[in-house]
Amino acid sequence: MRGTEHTVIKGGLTSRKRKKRILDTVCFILLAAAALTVLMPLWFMVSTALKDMDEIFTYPITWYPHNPVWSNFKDAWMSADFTGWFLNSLFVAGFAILGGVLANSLVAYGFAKIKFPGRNILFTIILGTMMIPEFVTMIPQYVLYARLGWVGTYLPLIVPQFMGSAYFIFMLRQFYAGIPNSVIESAQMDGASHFCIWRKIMLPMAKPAIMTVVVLSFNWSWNDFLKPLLYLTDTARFTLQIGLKIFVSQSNTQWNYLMAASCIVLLPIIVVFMCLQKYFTDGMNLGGAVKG
Amino acid sequence: MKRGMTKREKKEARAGWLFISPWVIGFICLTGGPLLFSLYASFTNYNMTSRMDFIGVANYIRMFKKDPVFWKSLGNTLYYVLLAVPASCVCAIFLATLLNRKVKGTPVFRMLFYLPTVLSGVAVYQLWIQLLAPQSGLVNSVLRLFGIEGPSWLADPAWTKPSLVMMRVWALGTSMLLYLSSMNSVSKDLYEAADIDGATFLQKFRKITLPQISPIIFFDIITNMTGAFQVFQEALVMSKNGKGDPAGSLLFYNLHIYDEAFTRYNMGYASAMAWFLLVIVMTITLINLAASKYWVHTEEGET
Amino acid sequence: MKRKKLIGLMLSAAIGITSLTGCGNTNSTGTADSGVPESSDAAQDTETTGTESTETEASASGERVKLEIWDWWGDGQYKYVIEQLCQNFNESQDKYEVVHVNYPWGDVWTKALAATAAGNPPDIIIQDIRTVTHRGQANQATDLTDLIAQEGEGFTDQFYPQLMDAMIYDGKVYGLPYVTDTRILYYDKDAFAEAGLDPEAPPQTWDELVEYARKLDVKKDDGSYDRLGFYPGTLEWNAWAFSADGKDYTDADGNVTVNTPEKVELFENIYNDFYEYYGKKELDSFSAEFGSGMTNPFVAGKVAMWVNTPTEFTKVRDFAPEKNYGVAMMPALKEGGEHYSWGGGFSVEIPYGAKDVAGSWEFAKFITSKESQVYWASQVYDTVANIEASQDPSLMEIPVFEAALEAMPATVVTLDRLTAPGASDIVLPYLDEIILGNKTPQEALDEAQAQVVQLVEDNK
Repeated sequence: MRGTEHTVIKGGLTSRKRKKRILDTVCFILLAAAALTVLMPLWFMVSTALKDMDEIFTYPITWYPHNPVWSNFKDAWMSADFTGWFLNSLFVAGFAILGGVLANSLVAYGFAKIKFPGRNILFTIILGTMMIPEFVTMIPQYVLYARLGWVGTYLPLIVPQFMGSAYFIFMLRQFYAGIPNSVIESAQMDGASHFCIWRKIMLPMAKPAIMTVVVLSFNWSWNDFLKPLLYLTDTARFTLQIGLKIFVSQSNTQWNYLMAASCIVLLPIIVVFMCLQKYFTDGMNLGGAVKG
Repeated sequence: MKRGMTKREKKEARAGWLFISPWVIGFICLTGGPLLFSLYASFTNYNMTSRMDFIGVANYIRMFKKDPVFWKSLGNTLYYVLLAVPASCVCAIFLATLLNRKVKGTPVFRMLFYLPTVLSGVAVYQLWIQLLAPQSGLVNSVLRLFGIEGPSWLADPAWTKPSLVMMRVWALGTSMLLYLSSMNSVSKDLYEAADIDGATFLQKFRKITLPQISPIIFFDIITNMTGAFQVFQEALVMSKNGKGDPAGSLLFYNLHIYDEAFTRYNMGYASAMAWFLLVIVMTITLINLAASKYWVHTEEGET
Repeated sequence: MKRKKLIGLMLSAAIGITSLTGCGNTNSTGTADSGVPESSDAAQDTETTGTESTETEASASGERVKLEIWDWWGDGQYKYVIEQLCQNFNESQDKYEVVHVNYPWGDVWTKALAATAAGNPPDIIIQDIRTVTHRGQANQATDLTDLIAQEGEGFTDQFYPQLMDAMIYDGKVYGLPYVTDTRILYYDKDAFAEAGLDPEAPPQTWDELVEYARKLDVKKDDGSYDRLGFYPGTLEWNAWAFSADGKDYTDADGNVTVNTPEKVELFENIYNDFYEYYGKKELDSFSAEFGSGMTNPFVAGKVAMWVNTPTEFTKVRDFAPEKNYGVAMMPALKEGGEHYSWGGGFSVEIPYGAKDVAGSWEFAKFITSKESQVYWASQVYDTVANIEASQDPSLMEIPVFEAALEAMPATVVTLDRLTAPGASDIVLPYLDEIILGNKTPQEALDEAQAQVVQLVEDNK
């Protein structure tokens, strides 16, 4: 410790640089260690995907495939209409993103930046909707959609996405809360409407948050199982998550195919994440706007 | 609405309602009905297909007085919540902080940490069952490297809930993403000013980062808690016969609700349990909401 | 324009909600029984709401009525066989056309429940045998009593009586038994020979089981086991309890039989002879290693004897074709005592509100007939509910069928009784406590007994 003190006295700049480098190295080591723990299960997933059933059944478990069967990926995918289901999932997820961004950013703006009577009660109700398990309202919800004639169509999967979700409304409201009111007030002085402020100021400023909504709503729509199961009746209209379950039966599971197909199913989410990840680090640059 | 509203306030109110109208419409037309229906059902013997007689608070009485596993399931769930929520929040903030230093390979790390949330369903649970196997499992194999003899995770009632907490922490990508977004939104000026004052990394973290991301911490705690209270799929798949064994240690509240509703068709009782859970979670949330005034930093000074 | 649409949406939602509560009211004013007039009412209801039925009606006006059977047989042999059966049925007559629709295992029932609640159920469904009575009571399944009466005397005699009993609620029949899954003992003949035991003489009693198990144990140098002589963890603890004396936890009269001397003794055996003997840690790790169902210890030669379903033999056949194994009935508790086994199974039901009950019934009869059941058994190796089919000589080439057939009369099929709903879920944690060594079998079963007695009391 005395050594570092010494260098501090000698030359502040180099020591700070060195300190930064040490911190960065520690940081990197920690990240790498965390990444390893995250990777282990994923590795196991990929390796199972490459095994044949004989090897899966051997004991003790092998941690890498001894005879990798690359054709598992193709065979799993071709064993049913996965390509069609993939496109269906993409279709539904597209609407989920569109609806998720539009509805939630509007509603959250209303809750975060406009004062109106009943706001707090309504917001509490929104929070409350998150707290009731989905399967308790499932039956009345199904009956309602059945009466509307929506069963067998994508409408029950798509329309609610345009009505906002409690999670995203809450989340965006928290992000908007960080945007100074002075920005809005000065815009209002210039005669801008709330819609205009939302469109021209809020959306661009909250880009990282919006992109988070995009990634998450894509992810959740992509992984949704219960709703497609309930509301889709035609095999040709199924989504991927129902499809994946064909490898799981009552007594047997084709683990290699299940894992292989699961790996492929992951790819689109990875791509979406990769494309958008630069936004998460862009930052909203709120401070700059205030001082400006 | 009130007489005392000025013209400007009225205009504001109208704008406010217009902005939240998508949700209001959705609630009135689609989601609200089933929700209220389930509230009503909690006072009936509703079984989804043949009966729905009003039975007053009989379901609630059964819950508190007669159901032998009600308190056990609630206890299990509370234990899980108390363990899982702090663990995943702290780990997510920690990871986001590390990622925010933007050392080499950060984009790759970011992707990796998000990956687990992308995985879902049986495949993940299966992976964990294998990883947690006491002898050949990877977790214990790694522990053995450090001379630690790991527990038999999913077979030992004392370790089943920590096992599920571990899984939850593993999949903290969503929280991490939120913290990352919000950390990046903190004004650089604040840090530069602190640098000039010679603040250390820890000081900056405590004095600038934490207050600035506090709205998201608040959000993360509430949603994580709500989610943790509803833990159920994991227990259904990872306990040997889906009933929360060994020794009922994975018998969570929602697993009990699910069982009542779908194996015994007691949807009335299941609804009562669900609404009681709502009361618990809502109470905690409102207390949090009140407390947040003291620690959550907002521009408006209110939440 | 937008506003009009919006109002329309709100209106239809309001109608949906009111009719939902209305539906509940009309049904609750009547008795819980499924009266015939009510059923025709509901049929009309589904037609007027017409979500999907319009489609089927349109095609029906042409020639054949299209019927859907829902199950989870979506892959491999099962899918092939059920579709073959549908095809056989479709070729056998010209009024109906049955289509096989598979949804994921377990989830298919959730979907069917929602569809039934909305009045638009599938035409035929394969269901869990343990809960038929619940669906009878809840009016989810069609009452088949009259249809069965029309078939003449002795129609139900073609099925195993304990399976048929599971179909009855309040004197009415709500389904036909389809398949069952008894439990039999598998043993490794080569291991027997190696240990100096007669490979043709599997253990008959618990004493023999323990004695043989000791001889079959193989220890590693470090003291851990390389092979266990017998591993009791493949059978759920509740199933062990039932197989001790062939008694469920409660009977139809509300008598509670949780802490019978036989059940206590059996758990003393399991705990003392295996969990304490091998050590909890050893068995914990064993059950965790193999609990996932991904690896199979019998196939891997890590256990010399275990109890499993007859169909399990396919795994040995596919993944250890060289293995020389035998099958026998589960051991009796005492010398000269009765052998018991335990089983569940699946039933064929016609959901309440199905559009063409007569057609559904024809198909239900068809797939539970001797011919179809022999075909099913010969292709997927399930133990079928039709007695004659299960005894068909053509099946006896496969050794497990013989053992299964022997076990069937001794197999107790437990139900989730309406007089004690969820009783087995209440008992299960107590059984776990025994295995964990926290409670003695007598203590644990006494406590469980008291809980179940209370449950029966509360449900009176």
